[in-house]
Amino acid sequence: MNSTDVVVIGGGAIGASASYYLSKEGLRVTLLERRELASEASGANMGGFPSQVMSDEVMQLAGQSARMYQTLGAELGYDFEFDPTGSYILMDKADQWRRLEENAERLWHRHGVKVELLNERELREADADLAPDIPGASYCPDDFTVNPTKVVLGFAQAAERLGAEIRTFTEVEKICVENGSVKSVITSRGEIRTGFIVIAAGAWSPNVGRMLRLRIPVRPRRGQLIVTEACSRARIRYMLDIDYLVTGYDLEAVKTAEDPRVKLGVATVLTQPPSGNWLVGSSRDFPGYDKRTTIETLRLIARRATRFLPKLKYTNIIRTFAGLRPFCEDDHLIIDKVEEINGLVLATGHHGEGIALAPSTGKLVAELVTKSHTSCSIEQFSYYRFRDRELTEREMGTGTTS
Amino acid sequence: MMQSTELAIIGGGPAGLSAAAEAARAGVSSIVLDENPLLGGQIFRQPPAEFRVVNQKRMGKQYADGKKLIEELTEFKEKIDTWTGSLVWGYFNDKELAAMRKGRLELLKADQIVIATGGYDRPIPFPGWTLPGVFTAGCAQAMVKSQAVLTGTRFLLAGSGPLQLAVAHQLLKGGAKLVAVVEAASMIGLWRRLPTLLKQPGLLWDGFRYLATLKLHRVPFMQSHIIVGASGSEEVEEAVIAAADENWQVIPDTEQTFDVDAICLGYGLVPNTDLTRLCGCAHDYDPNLGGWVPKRDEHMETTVRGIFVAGDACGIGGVRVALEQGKLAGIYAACNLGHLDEATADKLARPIRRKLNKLQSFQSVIADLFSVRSGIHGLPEKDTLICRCEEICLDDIRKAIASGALHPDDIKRRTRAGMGYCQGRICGPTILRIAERQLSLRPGDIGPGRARSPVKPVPMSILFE
Amino acid sequence: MVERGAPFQIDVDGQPILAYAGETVAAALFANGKRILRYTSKRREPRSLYCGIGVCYDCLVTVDGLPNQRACMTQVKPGLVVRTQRVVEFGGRQ
Repeated sequence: MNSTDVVVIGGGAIGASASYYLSKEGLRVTLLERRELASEASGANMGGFPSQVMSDEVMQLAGQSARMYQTLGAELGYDFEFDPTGSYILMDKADQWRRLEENAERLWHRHGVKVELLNERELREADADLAPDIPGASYCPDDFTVNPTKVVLGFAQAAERLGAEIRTFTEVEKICVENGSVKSVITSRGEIRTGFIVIAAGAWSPNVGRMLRLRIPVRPRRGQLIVTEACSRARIRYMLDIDYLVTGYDLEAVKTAEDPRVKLGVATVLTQPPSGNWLVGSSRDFPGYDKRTTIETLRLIARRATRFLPKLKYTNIIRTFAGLRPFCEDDHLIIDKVEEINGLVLATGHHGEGIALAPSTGKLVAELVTKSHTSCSIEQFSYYRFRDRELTEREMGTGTTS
Repeated sequence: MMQSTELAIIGGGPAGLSAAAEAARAGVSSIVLDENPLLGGQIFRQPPAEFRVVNQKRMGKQYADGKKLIEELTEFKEKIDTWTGSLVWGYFNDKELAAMRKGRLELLKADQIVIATGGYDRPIPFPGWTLPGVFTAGCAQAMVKSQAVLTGTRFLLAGSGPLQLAVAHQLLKGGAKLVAVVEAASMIGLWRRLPTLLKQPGLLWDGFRYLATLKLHRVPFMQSHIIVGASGSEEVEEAVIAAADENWQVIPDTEQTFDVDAICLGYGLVPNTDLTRLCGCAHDYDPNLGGWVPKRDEHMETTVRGIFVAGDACGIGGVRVALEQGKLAGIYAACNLGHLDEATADKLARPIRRKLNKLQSFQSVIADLFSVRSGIHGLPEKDTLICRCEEICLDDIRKAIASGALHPDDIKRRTRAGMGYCQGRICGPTILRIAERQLSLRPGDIGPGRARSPVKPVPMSILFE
Repeated sequence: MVERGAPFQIDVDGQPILAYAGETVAAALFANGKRILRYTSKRREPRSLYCGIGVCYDCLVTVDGLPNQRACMTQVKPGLVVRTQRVVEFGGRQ
């Protein structure tokens, strides 16, 4: 039987990042992924770092991550197509200035993040391809885009160089706990003895938690994307819909909404990576573990996006796909050590911010494993804010699907 | 916005058309969709409506057979609606198809579907294969048959199998100059299989006829030779061939160069499984059928209830097999729809199945004789492009596998191979071979790769209707 | 064997080219000796027809301002404007 110091479950951005930072601490790490690296949400997103629309709770983590990203490429020896695009929240209607101003104030006063408000003329000067009737925008120069799959691969390869073992197409079948401590992990390719497990399985974390009778209150929230053919390089390559500030896509708004666009959580995000293809997103719904794209949502995404960038209408769609974001029931993530079982760390529920927060999350996981305390406060990500942490007999009886 | 139909038949070639006819005979209303402006698919490709056929006899048997089948359909014009210029690009929910019909969006909910999307030429990369003037046998054939245009003046045909001979024949008829026809296999194997081959005397006769034509035109027919390179500054100017052993492994120092401006590559066909993969049908690997093929039962139904498959799309078998399989699919789709009871369907199917058994034993001999052998996969050099769309070379693919990619979807993520316009149709089979070699796997161990909507690019404007 | 339909002119890279009703853009170009249809973006290599049946997307040309159309699947029309592609333009009528 193999033995290792830490088993990381989940080959997405969080798992790969955790593997790297743990390996940096000199620990032997085995990363388990049931398909290929970045096969789920981490490989099915826009690759943007949108600090402008992140919640207050994650801003410190985000700031740390952003700083880490500046030198990460060099540190990992991997090019993940870091592009200092900045981000632009685009207005739809003239009565939305207040929203932008309030957000700008929030970002500056609470987090020291400076954004610049651009009027109609300034925006057109910045990029003439944008729709002429966009009243204005909020520009954050420090935001950027990356190739999310390459971020995952970069972390994984760097971890391997430090001695980590990456096992793809390997499923976790059972977790053995003895006397309240993690003992081993049984996989589809054999058993691994270990004293530490990190659950970083995104929307599939609940399945792993179930093996320990733990409730991990995360469920899949689908986001659909359209990829266009390669186009000439635009000047503004990262844009967000004002609706991220207006509707926020909280579940109540979605429940009561009549407008199909709001019901399906469609709001525009546009990124243009170096390949030249436009990534046109996005949406939010809860279809279970269904990664199919739907014609209704694709239509809504296309229509909304062309409101901001009309030329997209005349590009060819090369493919569409969807990712399942891990949505935590109270819309905040979980980074914590589990008290009830020795040797268990949870790092999951990152929803639409997994790529953005991967570096700092990975570092925190390494701290939780090696030191049991963290360099910054993670109170707000505590697992113990959930009262029912143990699955009932009935819940254990019914299976979760994947 | 959503139309409905009892039966949607995707692909208007021999399989699709015979499915439509049989289903109509049983009373089923169907819509036949085909991306091309005319019905017929590849083998029954018809010249454009605006061309006038002067000498029907000289057009060849396939033109005639195709014309006949298409005309047969008019007998059922109340039941069969044909949508040409229509690409089925998406599959959403249960049997909901998204099509682009002459540029407009059509949503079609079908009770039953027959996927008859045929196949396409097996891509075989070698140094210089992307040069203008290097194309598939299917391309040369389509151009000469339907457009009456020759794609060059001095042709070299290279590949394996009887299709090549048919194309050579067509090109010669069209007035082309052929410098050589290069066949990778050795004909000795053919003689050993004579008993089986004699069961299809018509096809055997065609083969001899084609060889005789080559002789008549003094075109060298070179067995056990393969093309190893093409060169030229902007278009192809030279073809390099070499002798090969029975595994198609190049024998050193046997190179010969020909001055050409057109190279036709005919290494057989691979099934077009984009839609069957998209619809969630299970697939199996069968080298005799061209690689990954959708699983189907003796009713031609796939693992998705109500989705049938027929013709080259479920395994390369040629036109006669496609016609018979199409009939079976039509019959059993009609049965599913309640137009035929099971006993009647089985009765109708019996003689068709007998015919198919005979045909299929012949086909499997041909497939075996001319199957692609491993030596040819050693032709690409490090910088030879494997993914033509995204310009990814052999070295890029090898590096991705060496760094841990274990599956074509993983290779795609890491290299972008398969992310271009053709959605992995051209690079897919080769990437599987490379991965199998590098990871010491058997063909069929990994694959076939995920398909996604749209299976072919569509303009974003189509989502605005 | 066949008689072509009515002839007319199409514009290829600014030059008038003879084409016949019912033909594909690929056929018209090839018949007039124009085989190079585009140059690739990475290696700047010339490309032409490869599969001829609409599967490989190598034969991409700009037709009436719309880039990346398959020459083998696009029909000619009187006055059609075809441009071989050097650099991939942003989508939209050019």
